[in-house]
Amino acid sequence: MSEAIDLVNNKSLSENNQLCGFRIGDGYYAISVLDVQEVIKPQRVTAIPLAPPYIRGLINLRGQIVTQISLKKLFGMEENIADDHMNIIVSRGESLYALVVDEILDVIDVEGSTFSATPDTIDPKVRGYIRGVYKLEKRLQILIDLDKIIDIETE
Amino acid sequence: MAVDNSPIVKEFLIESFESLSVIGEELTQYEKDGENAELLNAIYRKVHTIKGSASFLGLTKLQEITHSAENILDYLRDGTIKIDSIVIDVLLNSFDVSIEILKSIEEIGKENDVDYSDLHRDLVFVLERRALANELLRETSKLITEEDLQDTTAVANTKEATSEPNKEPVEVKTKEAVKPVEPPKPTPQAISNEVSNMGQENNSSDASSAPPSSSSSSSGGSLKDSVVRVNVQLLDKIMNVVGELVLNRNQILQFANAMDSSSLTRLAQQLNVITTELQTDIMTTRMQPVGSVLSKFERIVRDLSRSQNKTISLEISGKDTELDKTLLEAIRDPLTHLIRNGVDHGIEAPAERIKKGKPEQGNIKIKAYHEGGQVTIEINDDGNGIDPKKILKKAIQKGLYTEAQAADLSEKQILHLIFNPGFSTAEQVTNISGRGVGMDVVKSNIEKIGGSVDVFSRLGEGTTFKLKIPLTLAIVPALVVESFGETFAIPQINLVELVRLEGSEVTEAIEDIHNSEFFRLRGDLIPIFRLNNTLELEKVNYKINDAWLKQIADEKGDMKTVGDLSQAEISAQASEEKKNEHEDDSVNIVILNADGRIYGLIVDQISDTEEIVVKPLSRKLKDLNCFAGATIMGDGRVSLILDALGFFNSVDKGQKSKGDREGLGFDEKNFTVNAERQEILLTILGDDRPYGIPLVLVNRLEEFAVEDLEWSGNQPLIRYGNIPMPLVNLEKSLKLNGESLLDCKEERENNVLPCVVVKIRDLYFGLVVNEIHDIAISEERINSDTIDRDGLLGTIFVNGKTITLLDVHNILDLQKIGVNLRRKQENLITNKRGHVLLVDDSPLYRKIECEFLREQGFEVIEALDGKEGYEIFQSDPEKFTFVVTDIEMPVMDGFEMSEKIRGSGSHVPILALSTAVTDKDLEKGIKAGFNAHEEKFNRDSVLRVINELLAS
Repeated sequence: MSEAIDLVNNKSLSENNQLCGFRIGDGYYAISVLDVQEVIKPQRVTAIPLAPPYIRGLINLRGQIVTQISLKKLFGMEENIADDHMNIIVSRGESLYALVVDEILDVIDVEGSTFSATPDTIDPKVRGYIRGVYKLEKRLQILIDLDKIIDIETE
Repeated sequence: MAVDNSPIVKEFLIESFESLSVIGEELTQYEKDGENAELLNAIYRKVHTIKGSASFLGLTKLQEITHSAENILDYLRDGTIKIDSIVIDVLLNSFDVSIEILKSIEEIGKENDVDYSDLHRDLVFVLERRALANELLRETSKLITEEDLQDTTAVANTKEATSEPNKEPVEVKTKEAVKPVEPPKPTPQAISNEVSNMGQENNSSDASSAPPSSSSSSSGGSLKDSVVRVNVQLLDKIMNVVGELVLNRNQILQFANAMDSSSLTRLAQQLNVITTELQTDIMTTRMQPVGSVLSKFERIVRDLSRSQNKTISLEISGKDTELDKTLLEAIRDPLTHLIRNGVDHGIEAPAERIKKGKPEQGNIKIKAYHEGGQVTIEINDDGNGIDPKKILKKAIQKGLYTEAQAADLSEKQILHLIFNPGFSTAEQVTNISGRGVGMDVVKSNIEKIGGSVDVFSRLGEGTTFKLKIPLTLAIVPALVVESFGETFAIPQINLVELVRLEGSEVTEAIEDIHNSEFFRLRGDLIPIFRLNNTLELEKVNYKINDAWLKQIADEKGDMKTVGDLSQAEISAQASEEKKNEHEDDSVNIVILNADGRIYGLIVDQISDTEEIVVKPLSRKLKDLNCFAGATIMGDGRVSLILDALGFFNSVDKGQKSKGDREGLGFDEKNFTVNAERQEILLTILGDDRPYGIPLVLVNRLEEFAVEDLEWSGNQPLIRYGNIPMPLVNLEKSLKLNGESLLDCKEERENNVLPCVVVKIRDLYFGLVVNEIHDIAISEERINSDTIDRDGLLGTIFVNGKTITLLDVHNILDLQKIGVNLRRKQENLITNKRGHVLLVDDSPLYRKIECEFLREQGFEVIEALDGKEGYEIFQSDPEKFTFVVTDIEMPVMDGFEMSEKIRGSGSHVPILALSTAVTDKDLEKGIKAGFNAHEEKFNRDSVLRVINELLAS
């Protein structure tokens, strides 16, 4: 977490440029904080038979049904979901989704100038789901395109 | 016009009072803001609604006034009339009068007798003054002519008024119009634009002029005050919250049961009662009578039939049946479509109807009623019906089926094709139906709300659509089942029954054909699916909850939490265990009905029924048709709700690719061998053992008094009708150990002889038994290897017991009297009618059929299956007058044998006999070369068919 805290000290902030950072495997990703409804601990999951593999199951979030999505599976990574994983709850349309991530980093303030389009070198499996990259002092933070992830056609 | 005090009238009054109370305000506002078309439309709509309802309820006065007002508004809308104070005055006046009429309806149950001719004149004047089409003038004047007492003067006045169309007289007239408008009882000042004061004024006037005992006005006031309009969205929200509460209650109940605390249990029970009550009440707030939708069809039918020059009467019953508001909205369009279809395609033109001998007036019936926790709405027309041939032709044209496939479709399947997209059998597309919205939309809309549509039709007689609608959407009772450790909910609406098979039953009742399993449910073969296989549950990640379980374990270690955590944990662990636990030898089958298709689901465990709150799946999962949604169970976990129809469709697709369409028909014979139903009368004889008599031979069951017994030599007789009927001592004939009641010398409690009367060779015999027990249906094979003496046919399993079947014909042959009879009969049949080849694998039926054919004078040659039958036939094809064959037989079935015989070039008549004749079999039989196909043991029709076949 210490790296994350450093990042917060970036000064020129507009609210829209606050990102919620998280880690999946070795990669650092982010979505806009405005998309995040809440972050919750591991929950009891009900598997959905016949669903696409990246959909892990359904969670009961205070009476609401949440569809849990494994980003690791989606990004073609090995799916070893940690015991202390986290669920980022996002809302799209009338449905709620939980993105399974390994670790939640802090909220990062970013400047538009550090943003650049998706580099070609990024794994093609992932490229479709990301908007671009923020070049931060110590590393790259990949901005996830939530709409793409949630609107994936279920073949 | 008498109007009863039905809920519809009440609703109409409430609605109209409310509309009229705001209309005045809106109108004056519109006067100021003449550009506000939206406002004008709103006013127009309200007036239109009142007019429509008034015409429906037969309130002629109100209808006339609102009709004219509506016309004026309409001309205002299209600009033919410019808004000015006169117009507004006349309109306001007409609304006031409308309120008066409404009030009189509320008070005295009918329209008042006040003469509103002045108002009429004004209305007509406004319409006329604006140089309107003559047609309209006539129409409006006619209304007055018909209804008003002062018709002639009114029209005359109108004419006068028209002749000098300046502003002055109009204003005078308007004022005059106000004065004579007198309410039934109260003072003239009641006529005021202050609509909102109506109730009050009414009360005061009552107090002064009417006897205080009159309760009508107070009820009128309360009618208006007792109703609060609530935003539907708010209701929806309350409904959702109550849904959550229901879930929460379920959880608390489970928790309380686990906690073993009496005070908690008591509180939980109270919560349970309160929640249930709240839930029912909230549901009722959303319930509305279907009449509110159905009544609108009066108009639609009337208008449509007029425009098509048909006369159609509409009968609506069950208007009071209540349905959730959202559902009511959802069925409006589908119903409209069905009604329009009925008028347009269904009911024929009058000339055609007369030609067909039907009454000139067509009839459409709409019937709504509760049935099995659902609301059923039937729409029936007595029109032309749907021609299955036309549909089939169209289906083939559209390439939905090949000709060969189409031949296999049952009539019902064909009728259901109309629900396919793009299916309209109307030869001509009219402006009413045949466009865009088709039956497929009707079906999908009804299914969307969890309902179903069925269609029944008889060509030339009419069509009935049957819509089944769930009472409410949000909370449904469901059966909870488990498979492979996963829990699923199945809506009870789809549930037919539960079957549990144990031990050897499993292998007996479940049959496997080409990797598809079937279950024999009381003679019907239904497909069954293993839920864990179909849903590929073994692929489900069983470690999915490891993280969560670990987390719980940690927390427990830290905080020693008990209660819900341990509760949840227990259930989680239990389900883990179930995954590993191999199923014992019992099988649970849930029999479901999905849109008329019956199938079974094998699950590991059937838990309980629970009221579940249906929550939709996220958009990402909508493609999973197997599931109708998800719900939260009592222990807080999420469970998926199975969609019976979606599930069936998805497995059905998988099966079709295996080619069952072609395959199934022929495969059927392999597993339906000996599947004939035999109905057996169970009796107990003197040796206290059960014996069976084929029910088809039984004529009556009687009890004779011992005193009535007569003897002729050693032959006991009884008078039956006017003929002496021989009684048969079964024990003696069969040399059984026990003693027949006939030989019983002791005094018994009731001196009666239970007797099975059989009719053999045209004579009645009474078989005396100790006890008549029951009638059993068995599909087991008769085993004739087990018999050790004459007079027995074999043994059969009935409900797990071995029953010995009596060979009644043989028993009679064993009697002296039977032998004599036979000889006599054989002599009687002088003209031998030739040889019959009888092919049947069932010894019982073969016996009976053989006897029957012999009685008819045929020489019978028997064969045990199709193969043997064909061989015997081939050995001397010319020998046989005709062939009688069973259909379902081992080795070679009746179809195949018939095909072979036809293949050999023979035209010998073939009569097929089976226990049940289905349309599908009939068609298949004709192809295979059957000349006729009859039900077994329908002696008369079999005989008739034989005679016909031989005559031709």
